[in-house]
Amino acid sequence: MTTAFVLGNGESRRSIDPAQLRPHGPIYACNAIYREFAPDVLVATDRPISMIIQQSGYALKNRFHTRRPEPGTGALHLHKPYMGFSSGPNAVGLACRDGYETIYMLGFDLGTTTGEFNNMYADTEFYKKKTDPPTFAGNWMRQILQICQEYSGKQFVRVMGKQSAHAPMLADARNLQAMQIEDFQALLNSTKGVL
Amino acid sequence: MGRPLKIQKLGTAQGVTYPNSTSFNQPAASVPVDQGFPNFDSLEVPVVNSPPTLNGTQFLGVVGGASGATSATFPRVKVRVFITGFTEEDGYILRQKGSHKYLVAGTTARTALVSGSAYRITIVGDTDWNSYGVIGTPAVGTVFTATAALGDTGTGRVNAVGVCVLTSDLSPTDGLMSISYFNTNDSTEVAISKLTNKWLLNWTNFANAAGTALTTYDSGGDNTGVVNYSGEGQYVANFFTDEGTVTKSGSNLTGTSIVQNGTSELAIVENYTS
Repeated sequence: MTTAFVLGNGESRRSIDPAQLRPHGPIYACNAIYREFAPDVLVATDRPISMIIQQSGYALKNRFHTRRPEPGTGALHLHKPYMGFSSGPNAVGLACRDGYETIYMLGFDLGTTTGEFNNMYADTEFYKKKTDPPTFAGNWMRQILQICQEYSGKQFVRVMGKQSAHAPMLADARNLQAMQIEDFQALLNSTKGVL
Repeated sequence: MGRPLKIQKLGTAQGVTYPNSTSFNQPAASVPVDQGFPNFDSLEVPVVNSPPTLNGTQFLGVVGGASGATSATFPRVKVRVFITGFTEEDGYILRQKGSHKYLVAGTTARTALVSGSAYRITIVGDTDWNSYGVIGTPAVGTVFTATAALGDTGTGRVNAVGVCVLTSDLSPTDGLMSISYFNTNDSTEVAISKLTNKWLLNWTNFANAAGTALTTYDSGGDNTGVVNYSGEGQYVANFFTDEGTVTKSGSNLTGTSIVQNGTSELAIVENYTS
């Protein structure tokens, strides 16, 4: 086990086709991505979208984690101590728990550069409008930092685009580095098999 | 800080009786009791919600209970419980027993009784409840301790009942319970260390004299040995939004602008809407 990809839903990952990642490692992803792509592991913590995913039968065919699975839906529990964390950090935690050593985080924009809500699924069911204020990102940063520190032997790479916000809190994570999305794309194109 | 949690009930035959054309002193209609607080349309300055994340029909404050009057307009607190003798499940608050201790019921519809365990009837059905500990006429909402085991309750149903103490663990263990809140619209779920009818505290800086972080109250539900409350997160509890602020009590305002003493953040308490 070496590399895994964890997909947030920030706009910066729009240029990456998730299917393009598949030959290079397993994909952990969150929430509404299931509408168009089935990752290897899906996480949803918000109850409304989690319920819809479970009711759809998705979890009977795919690995899906949520805080409190409905019996008979195939959904799995999220694990302590990250159970209360948001979906993205929980997905990162699952990739660590599953044993991957290098974890690329794409679409973890952690805020906005435009002052508006930054999510690929803005204006769709369960999401705020594109023009709404951005979601507070402080908890996400704190949660990712905690995971990086608790899995100090692993390497984390935050792939950033022009929509990615500066996250000074993450500077405290010595095992986390940033990579521009163009460089990531180049790495992907030049690599055959697992990254 | 704050008053005990209100308990939502549907009071039957409440209020005045009234005559009509066919009978005299016919009981008045059922009346929801303690299910909400004055909504924003009925409030006047200085209570200011900024930005305006609560609409006119919504209100500050939360209530517990098991009432059939629960709705999206008047939700009630949802809890996670592990009642001794049973397993972890969603639950609801029947009564507040102490500042951190509640009489709660699980939501699992149970079809068997264990002698010595407590239950709340949710469907009367065809069960002979009086043979198993109910005194008087069985009804939905009757709480009793089973005096004998029963393997099959027939069409009757009960919820398990017990006393649980708050913990910071969102998946509580035996005898404990958690109440969750959200406050930044980022889907992070956080456990409450104390909930009143208006305020909630989280577990930040909750430690004993040695500085060791505490994650639950003792079995008595009090805070023996807890010396450090400082820096705890404190929020205004409500059922509708985890964004925005309201003016703190005692704030100085000019019109609707806060000029002194500041604001408190809103936090949404996990709830049932039906």
